[in-house]
Amino acid sequence: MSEKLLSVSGLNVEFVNKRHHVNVIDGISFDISAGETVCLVGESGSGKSVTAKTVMRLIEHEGGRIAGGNLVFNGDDLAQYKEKAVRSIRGDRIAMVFQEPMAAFDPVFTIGKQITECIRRHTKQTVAQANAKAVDLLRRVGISEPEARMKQYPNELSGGMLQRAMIAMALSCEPDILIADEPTTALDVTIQAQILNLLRELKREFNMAVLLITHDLGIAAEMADRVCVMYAGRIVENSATEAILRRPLHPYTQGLLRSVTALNHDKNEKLYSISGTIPALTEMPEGCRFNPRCPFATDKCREAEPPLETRALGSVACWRTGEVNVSSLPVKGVDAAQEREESAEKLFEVRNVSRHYVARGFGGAKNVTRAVDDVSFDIIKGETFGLVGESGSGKSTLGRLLLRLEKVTSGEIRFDGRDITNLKSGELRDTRRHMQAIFQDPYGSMDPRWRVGKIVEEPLRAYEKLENSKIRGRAAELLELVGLDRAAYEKFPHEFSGGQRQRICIARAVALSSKFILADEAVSALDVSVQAQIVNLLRELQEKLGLTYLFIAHSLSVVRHVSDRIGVMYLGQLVEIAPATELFSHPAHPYTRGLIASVPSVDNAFAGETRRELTPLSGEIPSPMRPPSGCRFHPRCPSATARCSEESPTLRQCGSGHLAACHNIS
Amino acid sequence: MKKLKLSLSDALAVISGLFIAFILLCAIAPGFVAPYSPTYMNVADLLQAPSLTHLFGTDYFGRDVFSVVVYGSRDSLIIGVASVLTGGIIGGILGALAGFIGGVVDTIFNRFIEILMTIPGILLALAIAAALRPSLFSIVLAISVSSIPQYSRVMRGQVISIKNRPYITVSNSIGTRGAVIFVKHVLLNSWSPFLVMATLGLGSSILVASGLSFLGLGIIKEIPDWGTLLSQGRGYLVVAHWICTFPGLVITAFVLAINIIGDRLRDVIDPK
Amino acid sequence: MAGVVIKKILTSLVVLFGALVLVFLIMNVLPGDPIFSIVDPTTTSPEEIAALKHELGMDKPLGQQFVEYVIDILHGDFGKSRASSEPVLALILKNLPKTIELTVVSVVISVTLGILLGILSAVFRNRVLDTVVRVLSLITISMPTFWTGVLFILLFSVKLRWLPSMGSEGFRTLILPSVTLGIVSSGVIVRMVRNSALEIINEPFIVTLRAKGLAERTVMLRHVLRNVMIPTITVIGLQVTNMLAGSVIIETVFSRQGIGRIISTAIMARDIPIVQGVVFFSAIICVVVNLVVDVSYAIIDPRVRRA
Repeated sequence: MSEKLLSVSGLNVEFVNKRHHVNVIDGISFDISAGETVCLVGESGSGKSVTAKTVMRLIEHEGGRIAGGNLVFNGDDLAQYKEKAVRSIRGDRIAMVFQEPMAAFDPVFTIGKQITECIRRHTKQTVAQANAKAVDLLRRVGISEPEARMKQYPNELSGGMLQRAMIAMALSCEPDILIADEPTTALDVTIQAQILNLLRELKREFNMAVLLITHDLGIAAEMADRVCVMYAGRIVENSATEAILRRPLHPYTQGLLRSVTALNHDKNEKLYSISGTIPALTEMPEGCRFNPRCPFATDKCREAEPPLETRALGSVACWRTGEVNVSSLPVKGVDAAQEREESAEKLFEVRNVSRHYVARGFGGAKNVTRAVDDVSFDIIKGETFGLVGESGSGKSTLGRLLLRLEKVTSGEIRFDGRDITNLKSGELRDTRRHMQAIFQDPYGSMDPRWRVGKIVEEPLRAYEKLENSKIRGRAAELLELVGLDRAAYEKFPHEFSGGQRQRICIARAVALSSKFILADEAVSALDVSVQAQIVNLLRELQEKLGLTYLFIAHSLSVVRHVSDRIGVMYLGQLVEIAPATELFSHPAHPYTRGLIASVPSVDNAFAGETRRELTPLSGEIPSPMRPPSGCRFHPRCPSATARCSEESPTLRQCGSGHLAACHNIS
Repeated sequence: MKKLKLSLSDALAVISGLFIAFILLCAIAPGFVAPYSPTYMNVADLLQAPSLTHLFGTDYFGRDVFSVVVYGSRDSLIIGVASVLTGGIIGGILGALAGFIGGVVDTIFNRFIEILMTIPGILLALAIAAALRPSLFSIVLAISVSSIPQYSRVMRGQVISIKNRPYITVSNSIGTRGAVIFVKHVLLNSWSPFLVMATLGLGSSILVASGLSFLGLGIIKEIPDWGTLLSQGRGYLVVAHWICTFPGLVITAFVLAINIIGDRLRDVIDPK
Repeated sequence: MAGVVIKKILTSLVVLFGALVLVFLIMNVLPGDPIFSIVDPTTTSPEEIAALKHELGMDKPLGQQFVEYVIDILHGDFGKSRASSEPVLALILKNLPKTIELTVVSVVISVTLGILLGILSAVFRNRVLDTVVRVLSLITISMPTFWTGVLFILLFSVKLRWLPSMGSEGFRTLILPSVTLGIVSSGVIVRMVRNSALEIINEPFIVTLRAKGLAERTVMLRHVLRNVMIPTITVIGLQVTNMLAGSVIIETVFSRQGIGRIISTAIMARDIPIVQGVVFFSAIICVVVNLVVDVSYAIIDPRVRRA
């Protein structure tokens, strides 16, 4: 065991205001050694970010207070430091990288200025020296033309670039510890893989310790030496990564690992999900904080808090360690693996659809953004068609076009045999009742001033002239259908958790017994355990009501699990369409291959003798205003030829129901 | 049940509310509050300094300034409330429609508001008041026209921000009719900041009205409103400052009370 | 950037023309024959009125009157005062410097006070200083401008005899009017600066700055202040135009020379060409101020600069 660099012990953090006195972090302990990567993993509300900010003593600026415990760094207790002394550590010995690169830079200063500001705060360098150092750092983190970037403002760089610059800034004083708080959550999966690789390289190069905060077990699996699983302000398990993945001890860890939709998960099986939600900080349960959601809870669990005890493979806080195992539990209501009848009846026929946005600049110069460009595909009745791609690929726009929330620039869309491309608003209404939508942000999708009952009734009232009592009865039935209590009827959206809110939105979407539902990133904003619940609900409803879904998401594993067929979009075009399992076992397009390889995975991380290297795609998705010539993917494609930059490939058959647009496949 | 703690701002709001209620009482039943008739000229008591018999002193006609202020509250309030209602309703409707419909309508609206805003509020009010004969109507018209830009801009901004919320997209995708969306979602969610604005607008209307009276565009009546009273008292500043200071104090206190209530309302509606 | 400015100037011209139409309409179309603002219909015979109308060109169709008015303005002719027959433009130009002097000094006072107190108030949020500043700023925006002026006269001129209560020559006569005007509008700026500073302090990038080890003072003075300036500039622009309007009252209270004073006299005398001219002239000033605001916006905010 090498020297401990940072040792957190018995840390308590509380937030105090006029009304509440909340204990957010309750006696957590962990160590980091030089050159080690420790991951704090947990769902929202687990206190992982608060822990990170507390180590930097930043939490005091946000109303928090260290109520007990020590933060021993290089032999000194940071918890006892005065603010002024902490400041000379911050940015110098301990540096931090944040979640939203766009929001984490001051918008009115250049990148260069913000990096040199940090260098000059902690060293006695001249402006010229600091500038030179900043340029070196930018180059090191893989930013091209660093001199030019120095003079640019944050809004002029992409999210991936900014996160690189943020890392450069954090490294500017060669810190001993780098804290990265969800550094890739706001980024696309390909950029995420690039950033994760970069962090790994830099850790080795600078021999830093890294404290990585993430909600994604896949990232923890790929990156960490040691994983601390947090739940409701406590650490429930702390072990070496391989051990925790292979033999998780705490029922929460076991449950989390089981509800992760892995790329090789059996599609016909329902997802395992942890029931319930994380408790609110003000309503912590007695005893073990996980007990209300734990399938194995006993009276002892309900009465006394289990301590974090060291076992052979790591530490765990559970009274029943060794006795219980979530993987032995059957998944409630396993799908009967019923193959749906192969129908060829098409619900949607999309032909050469384009959506271009034209912005007129000064002097009449036109800027055309080709959000969707010449896309053709069908959606078969009763299937789930998945749509994946990086942000900016046009997948959401395509969804909005199908619902006629936007009008196509050219092309044709047929719904149930009827051309809806140019329907007038009156005729459109008849069609609209057969297609509904669920969006990413369930809270934003509901009028905050409406009661839940009224929200669910909105579609009914828009189309059906029923008496109030009938509509009320129907709404209550719908709420039960999605697993909510009838009492929800009288409540407001803010009284529910994220998962429950999405259930309400689903109830509204199925109210009219529509044929088609667009689910645009419908589970992306939810925690892993809740995500599984919602995915299961969607599949259940599909069976019961015979629904057809267009499921748009950036998470490949979720899309793979729910979809029958998947389309991959890149820069406004469909580059590959294939049955879900086929797409993942035999991806034909280099872009699809790159996407799949970028996904951090719990299972692949330890597949071989050593950790695998992530093999991300290089570069970033270009602006749809200036798409590359020929195949739009060619500048990032590892196997591009001269032909690719000249000639645009079309979708071609390359297997049963498998289409791809690439010159290099036969 | 949580213990109800009265913070400083709550206390201020309560006091302000009481004061506004008192002024309302003055406007509705001045005879009940005022010790003397506002028209009673006591020639023996010209320009008396404030005392227990004459709380705010007496003016150059021997009228009790306090009583005149109490009776004058009616016209001052009518001007304020009427201007806010007219300006607020016209501005609110214009802003809401421009924001909701968008496109060309919005562009035209923006140009129109931009033009109105080029002429500073009180100058516009002055021009209107000058073109018309001085009357309650012309003052209300002048103030409400000059306040249209502020109301309509707030409403438009609010409506646009609501229009872009996901739940409006959902309503559209459900197929709810445009008019229903406008009334039940957009307006329902837009009116609260607008209410705050209107509350604060009441204060500024009263200030503008007093400014107009000061410049000689007020209504000439037997019982002067606050602004007129104030400007008439200016001539006696050196010998009897109370004719000027006390009405001014009442205006300030009233507008302050409205501003405090308005701020409080904003905090309650939009707790940041 | 140059393109944006040219576009702005073009729209400004359109807006200015609109303002001209508006002023003309207000003066000539609102109920009541405009001639009655000059003569009393009860004492003047209809023939005399008709003769006067003809002399002033008021018997021509409104459209023609407007076109002639616009043509005159393009030639720099804003008409003549009906009371003194002095050309309106000359009258305005003669009085403008005094008003500009007053406005500039007031803006300096209000912006300095406003930003300083606003930032302090935000930094010491919910402490005594903040409470005092908030209460004071609320009071200043609740006081009628002229009453504040009158109180100042009462205190500093009548009671203490420190400063002159009227006149427009020399620096001493400028103090009371500009302080009155400045204080009233500083209240608005304080509130604005405080609110936006509090918003910016909660932005994620402030955490980054602290994580770099920067002192709170640096965070506030270098970063928060600069970000606060973006919305504040708009408010300052609005304040300049408000002060122009406020000068009408202040110049009357302190018997100062200036365009505010001439418009208030003109209104009492129903001297329409002067009213029209001054209102249109202040519209020009507003448009210019707005242009300056837009350009300084672009200098401070890189996000605008690129657009």
